[in-house]
Amino acid sequence: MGTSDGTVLGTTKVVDHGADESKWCLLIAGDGFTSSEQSTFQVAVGNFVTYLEDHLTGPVNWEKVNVIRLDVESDESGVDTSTAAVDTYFDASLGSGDVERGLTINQTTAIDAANAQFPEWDAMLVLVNTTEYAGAAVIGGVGAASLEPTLGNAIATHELGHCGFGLADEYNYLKGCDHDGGPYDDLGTQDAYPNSSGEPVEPNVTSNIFALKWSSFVDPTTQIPTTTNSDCTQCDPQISADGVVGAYEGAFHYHCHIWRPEFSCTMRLIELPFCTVCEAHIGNVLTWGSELDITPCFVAGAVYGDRRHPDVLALQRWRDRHLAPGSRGRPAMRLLVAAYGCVGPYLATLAGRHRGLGRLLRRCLISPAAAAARRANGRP
Amino acid sequence: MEPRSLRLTFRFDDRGLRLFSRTPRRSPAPPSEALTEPPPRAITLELRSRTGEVRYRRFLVDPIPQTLETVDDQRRLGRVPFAPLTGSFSAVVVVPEPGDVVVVSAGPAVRFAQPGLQPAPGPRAWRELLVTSAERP
Repeated sequence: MGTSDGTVLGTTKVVDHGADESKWCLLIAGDGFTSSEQSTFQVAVGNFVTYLEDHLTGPVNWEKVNVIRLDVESDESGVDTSTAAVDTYFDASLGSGDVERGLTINQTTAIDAANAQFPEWDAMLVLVNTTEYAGAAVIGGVGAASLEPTLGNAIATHELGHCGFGLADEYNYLKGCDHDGGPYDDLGTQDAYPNSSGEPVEPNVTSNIFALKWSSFVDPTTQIPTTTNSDCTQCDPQISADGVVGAYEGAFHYHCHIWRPEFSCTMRLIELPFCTVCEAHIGNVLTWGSELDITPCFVAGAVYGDRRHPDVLALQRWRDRHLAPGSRGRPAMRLLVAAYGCVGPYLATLAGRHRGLGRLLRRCLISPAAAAARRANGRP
Repeated sequence: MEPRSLRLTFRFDDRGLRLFSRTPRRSPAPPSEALTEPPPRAITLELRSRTGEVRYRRFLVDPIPQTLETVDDQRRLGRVPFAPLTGSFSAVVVVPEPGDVVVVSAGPAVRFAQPGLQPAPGPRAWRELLVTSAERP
């Protein structure tokens, strides 16, 4: 089963914000869709793109994203299950890992198809033609999700957090969380994150609350750690308000000794939005290849000491929206950016040298400007 | 148009890890991670010069799966053991300089269930899973 069980038809750009080499390109393929079901796949991609655009908010600039659909025709409809083998191109299988809802695809076939059809791809998702209440997988950097009507798009977004942006899971492991027994226990004891593992490389979990990697997002009045799990054999039963960046114990499949930045996030509970820290990281990833990122926010970066601070990113997003091809006010914004490119570095140096000036600029100019930019960007 | 980056695609099986393909791209590569000592549970992809100097580094997140993510009856995400014996992963790097080598390494806290990727006997330390030319053979 595999590539002999279908045909790659080609690619279609479904979200086009400009040249692919200057955008972050998401490739979405389908598996288990026959020739007569291609329209079903196209609708599924459209639905997911709408969901994703709504879901990527805050500093995430949708104008930096292109989405490309990879149309693949499978010989048979559906997905392999424990009772039936189905001939599909990416060999999607439901029931992998001895879990009824474990969903896998052949990642070698997926990566080969992506490289051959669209070399500029930055992340790849495979939507599998099943409406089963199915799980998902990220294997080798390619995410997969089902078309389950209520959770499919949310699962796909979570998987994109892994395969597209390198985000870690923020949930505990399930043992001791009213879910004892079964394959979830087979990970072994994961009560406390081991010291010997060191700091995770992922941006949204940390084992070191004394040098928080997201400290620039934390309000000085927020207690660190923000929550502490008193029983490391169990999920922490405490519930905190969403939207406060701090250090919440329990993440990365462990109950203790590892912290996440907010109480909730897509990387913890799939139906919720990304948290502030994840949004900022996603916004940063999207700027890697962006032609629009021609001038950094020198002054704001110097004043905050962090070019990924939410205020800095809000201002960048506002600027980039107005620099996008076809946007109103683009000529004026280009002039403004050119002028800022001349005086910005000088002002940034001054603000960096004189902390009082930096604080004054932050309070009286940049914070209000960022708040206005957020309102203009569509998020308070 | 000269490529601005390369996508390196790797395959693993019971014989270990190998570089399968180099795909030129017009898009730029992500910036390098810091070239200081990486944490023990990291898996790194590096470009090193002829003299062994690390020129560019990326952290690879879960390139060789050890678990499978699933959703339970209560819509909660969870992980179960799952370690396919063969597979692929890929990552984008800057265009290598002549003579550069590609090195994939795993930190001492990294465990693989795949037999072809088991570390050699002895004290656990950083181990190089692959060292190969960055240029086309």
